[in-house]
Amino acid sequence: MDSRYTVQPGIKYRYEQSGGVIYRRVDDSLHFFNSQLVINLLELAERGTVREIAAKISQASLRGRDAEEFVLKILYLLEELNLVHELEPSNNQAAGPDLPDLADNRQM
Amino acid sequence: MSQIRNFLDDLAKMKVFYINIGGGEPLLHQNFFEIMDYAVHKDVYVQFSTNGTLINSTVAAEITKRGLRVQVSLDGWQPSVNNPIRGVGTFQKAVAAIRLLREKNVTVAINCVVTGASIAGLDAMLQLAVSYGAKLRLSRLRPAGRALNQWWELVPSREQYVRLYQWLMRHPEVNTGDSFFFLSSLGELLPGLSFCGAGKLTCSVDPQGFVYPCPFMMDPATVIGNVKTKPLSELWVEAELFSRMRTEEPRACVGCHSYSKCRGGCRGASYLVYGNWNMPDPECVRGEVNDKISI
Repeated sequence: MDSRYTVQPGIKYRYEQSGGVIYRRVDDSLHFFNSQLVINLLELAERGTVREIAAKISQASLRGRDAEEFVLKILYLLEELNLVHELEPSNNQAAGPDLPDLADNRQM
Repeated sequence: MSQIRNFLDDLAKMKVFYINIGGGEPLLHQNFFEIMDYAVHKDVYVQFSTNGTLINSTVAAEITKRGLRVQVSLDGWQPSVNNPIRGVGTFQKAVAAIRLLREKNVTVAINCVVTGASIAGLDAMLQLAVSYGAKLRLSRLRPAGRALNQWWELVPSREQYVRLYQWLMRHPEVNTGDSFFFLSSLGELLPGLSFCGAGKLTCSVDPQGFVYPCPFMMDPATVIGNVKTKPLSELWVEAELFSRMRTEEPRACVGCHSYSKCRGGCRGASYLVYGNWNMPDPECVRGEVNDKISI
């Protein structure tokens, strides 16, 4: 079953040259990731389902990797770190995704 | 104030998450709350360190209004441990400040610099913090400032660091400001960053506006510029020293199987002890590296 997710309150994030860094206000913790995809996923939170987001990212660049599996792995890690959480299904899902064009040079 | 506002504007543009204001004593600044107001307006979180002596009900209320976080320095769980380090009467003053701040629901962390003497009392420190509704934050002792002449007497032994590591693994709720990541080479990674953020994720700015890689490398030789003459957003990208710190690795660490867990440890500690930030952490707990270095 497809699902949506959102960023936990009190989370800030930004891209870094070699990946991205996330700050969690509740415990002042910093988390560094070697992939900018992690920040991509935080930016795309709530704008589509996991499958829709994975499809969009796959179009941009995932170099042949299984996009959905890869995205799910990262989201699982982010959830374990209490940085994102899954949203309850809602009627808004019928409205379709609101995903930007990812045709930029973000490293994946 | 206009220079400070410009600086905060630049930090917001850089998406800086938060700033830690230390001292000296930050509350002595005559425009302290005006500066805090602007930082809040720019959505730059602020936390500041204080010895607590200037905290009263009015100040505590001003802090609450702005959602600031406060670190109160305390280096022992009772006066007999704390006061020889921080001064006569400081324990009582710090505790009084913590009480006042907590009455106003300010998020308070007790900041304790870990020495060989205080490791035995970590449970007591944590209990003290919990009893006041505060968090505990442990910092690493570095040979700087007032600790410079006594560092060798105060610094924990390797065995004590092993006990500290085990204690931190049992207490993930204790904040360390990523001070002790060098201990991760002992086993599993400690929570937080597992590398030195100096020049990569963090930097320090002194009251005159000079920029350094971190608070432990505030030396004329490591200045990368001044925010009064050039925005930090430009210095951050252009500084050759920062560029080197982002790419170079201590040669003496090459081949160490623990390197991926500690990345050579604290660059500031290396700089303070060896005069060279690109040396392995002087307190490397693997011991393998220090066997190779003759000081």
